[in-house]
Amino acid sequence: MGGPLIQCQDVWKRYGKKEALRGLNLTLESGKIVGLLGPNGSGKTTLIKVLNGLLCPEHGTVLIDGEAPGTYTKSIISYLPDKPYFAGWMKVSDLFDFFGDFYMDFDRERAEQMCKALLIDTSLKMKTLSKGTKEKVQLILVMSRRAKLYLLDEPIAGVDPAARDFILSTILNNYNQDGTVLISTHLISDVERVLDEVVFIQNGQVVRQELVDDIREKEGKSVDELFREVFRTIPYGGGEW
Amino acid sequence: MLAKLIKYDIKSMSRTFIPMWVLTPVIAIMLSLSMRGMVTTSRMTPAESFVVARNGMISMVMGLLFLGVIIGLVVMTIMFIIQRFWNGLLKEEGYLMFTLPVETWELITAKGLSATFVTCISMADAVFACLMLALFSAEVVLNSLARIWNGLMEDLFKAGPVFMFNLVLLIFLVILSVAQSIYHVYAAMALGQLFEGHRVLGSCVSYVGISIAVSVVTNIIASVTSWILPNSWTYDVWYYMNHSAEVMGLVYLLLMILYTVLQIVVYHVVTERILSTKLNLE
Repeated sequence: MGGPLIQCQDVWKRYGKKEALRGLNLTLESGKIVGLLGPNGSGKTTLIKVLNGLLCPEHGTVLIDGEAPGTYTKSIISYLPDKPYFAGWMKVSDLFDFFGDFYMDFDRERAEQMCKALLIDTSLKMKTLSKGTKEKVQLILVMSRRAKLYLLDEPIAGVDPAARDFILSTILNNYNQDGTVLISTHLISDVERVLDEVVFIQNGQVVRQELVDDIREKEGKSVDELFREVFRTIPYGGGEW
Repeated sequence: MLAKLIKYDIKSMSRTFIPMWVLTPVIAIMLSLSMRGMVTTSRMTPAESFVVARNGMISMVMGLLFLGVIIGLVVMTIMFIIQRFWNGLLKEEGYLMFTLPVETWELITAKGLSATFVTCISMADAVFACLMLALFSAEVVLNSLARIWNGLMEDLFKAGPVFMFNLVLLIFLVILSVAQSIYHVYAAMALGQLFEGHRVLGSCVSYVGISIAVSVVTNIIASVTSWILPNSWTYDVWYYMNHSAEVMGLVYLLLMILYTVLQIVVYHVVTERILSTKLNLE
């Protein structure tokens, strides 16, 4: 369609009295791996759910590839939530059938190859798999799509360093090069090497958006160092202890 | 896409329900057969009395089992309706379903149709089980049942086309009523998810609230209808003397079908609007 892939203008989302997004503005282009970085509770997951259409904002405009969240945007977004979302009775092969039925861009062959490489038996039911294997299956399904936009919510949270490497290499080796990958995380040092651009989010607002190379060049710092600087918490109201 | 959604819903429910649907008539037949040995006479030997008493125990166990299976079927059906919507759309599985490239109305319709299908099959299964209970019972019972059945069939053949049509409409109304009850639950759950942090309580309150509102509206409509149409409550004897009661039944059935369809449409629209514009998968 041309133009930016993601456009958010003055987006507000509340949970009761708590404001999760407070007039958030964001524009992202295609063909990049972008880190959505921010401390816990900064609004990362809420933003991803708004982009997905899982949450309806109270105010503001959200456009994905020029369209508001709906059937078209869902057909071009591949979403990895921060928790397992499959019914336990389904076999891995059932999930392949399911994705094949609903997503035109699902590459079943690729998914099967990845399962084979990881020695995952596709005839097993999801409820019989370990937590780690479930997460791997979920990642395989998401990355086997030729999507325009991948929204990955905390893909490396709660896994050991070896598994983090596997997840990141799976993302790097399988994403659609013409699409954009938006990875939300607060584990900066692990993802830094794969990112082209970073978006810092705090209190429901984008506080900084920059190319990773520019940060290194201008600031002479790594993204991790800059993150710690931007989001430094001041204990006990700034008093010494 | 709707057909694909229904396919997955039917697949998910079949693994739970098919064993139950098979088990219910089988238990009914076993209960029926066990009751055959309970026929007693006054000239029984002690050994025969022992057999009868033993058979009585077996029948009691089978009876309890049958009752348990029927209750299980009812409870499972209700749980299925609630769970498939709640877990399938408003909990973690909702992350998958609401990110599929399908319209919200298709998700609701798929759930509604599959839940109606399951409930109707469960009802038919319970009726079939009762029929099995009768067919395999003692000859005395079977003969009297056969007499009642033959009488019913004769009446049916004698009845006019309007009566037969009414019968078909009645079955249709029962199916629609099942769908209406299901959509009532869906609308309550959709409203309930708006109560942040108290979704279950919100759903229960919404269900009761909707029930009261519908009851008030139904009473108003019933009052209006009774003024317009002649009915048995207002002793419109003159009408029955001059018109066929079958035609009267037809009019009332058509009105009830219309009202039930209207309720389904309202519940569906409410559910669809809430999930389309106020979806809150926290």
